[in-house]
Amino acid sequence: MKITVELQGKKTKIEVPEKAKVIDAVKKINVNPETVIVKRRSEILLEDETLKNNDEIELIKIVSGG
Amino acid sequence: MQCSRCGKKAVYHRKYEGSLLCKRHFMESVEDKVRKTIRKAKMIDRGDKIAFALSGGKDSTTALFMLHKMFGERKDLSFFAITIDEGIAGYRDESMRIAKKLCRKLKIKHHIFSFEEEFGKSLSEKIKETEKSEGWEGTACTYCGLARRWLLNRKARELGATKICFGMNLDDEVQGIVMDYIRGDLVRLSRMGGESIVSSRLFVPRIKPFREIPEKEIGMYALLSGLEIQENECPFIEGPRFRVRDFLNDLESESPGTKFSVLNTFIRLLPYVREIVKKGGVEIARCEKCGEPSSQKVCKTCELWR
Repeated sequence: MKITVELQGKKTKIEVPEKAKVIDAVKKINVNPETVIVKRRSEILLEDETLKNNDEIELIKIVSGG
Repeated sequence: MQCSRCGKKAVYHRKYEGSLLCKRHFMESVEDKVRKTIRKAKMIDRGDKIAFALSGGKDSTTALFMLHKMFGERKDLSFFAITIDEGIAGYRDESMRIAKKLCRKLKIKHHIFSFEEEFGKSLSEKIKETEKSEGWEGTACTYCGLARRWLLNRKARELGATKICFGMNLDDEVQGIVMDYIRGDLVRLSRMGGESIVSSRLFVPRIKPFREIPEKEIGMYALLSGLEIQENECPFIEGPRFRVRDFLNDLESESPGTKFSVLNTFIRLLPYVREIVKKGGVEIARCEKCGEPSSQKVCKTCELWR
């Protein structure tokens, strides 16, 4: 199935297996789950939640630097 | 997935303690932990005038927001904020805007000082200049961190602060501990405890109420509190510390609780580290150029910036 991942304003479409979890999508774009909070619209998602086809998720980067 | 405490929808999975938490219970548990950290290390005393080192990043804005929420009504305490503008184009402007907005909202007196005014040049200019010269040593973070700490301490003291509050979280603490191990810097390591070690009356004691809260939880707390989060990283970010950060995050993902394990082991070792350092005896005098505390005749900030 296809989902859209937004990170720092940049949207990327990725292919993930059926019943993929949030953590699978985060790892697919080489982001450490420790460094982001995931949202679907206004809802905060846990890493173990299952995604649906055409879901759009937003990754909010929380690692500081500087 | 449901909150382990009340059954409402969970927003956070705290893997290192195996619990799922809803918004209310997540926020309450973070606040409880912070209160406990403050009490344990006796970070706040009656009559304290606390200067918040407010960069505008999520940690410092959350520190000001949360401590204002906890202690804002106390008549015997007073708060103000200090922001240092290093002059990092495209980065600091955004966090400065966030810092100003929060101080206005909370009615906190906000002081802004810049590298340009204090040292005659911004960090960007300093880096350009030093890259061309042969005396280049360390990274941009070396120049920035030294000058920022120097300026914060001096200004907080001049403004009458009895404490400086930093937003450093568990991740920052653990990265610092690992970095000091790597460098073999026992003197720095001996100062990494929760309580403030003041070796000169010219140093304003520092407090770090978030030292036992993981960075991700600070981010989540900020988000749930409606605070703005700056997502872009400093363009000068470089050096081994950031490799240590990524390494620790990888380990934490694979093995939750790793960061707490590093901190707790260090806390057990700390008395021995301090004993060794005491025998070495580092004396703090005053820098000949600026008069600030220094273990050398001329402090590192004056050596690099003046």
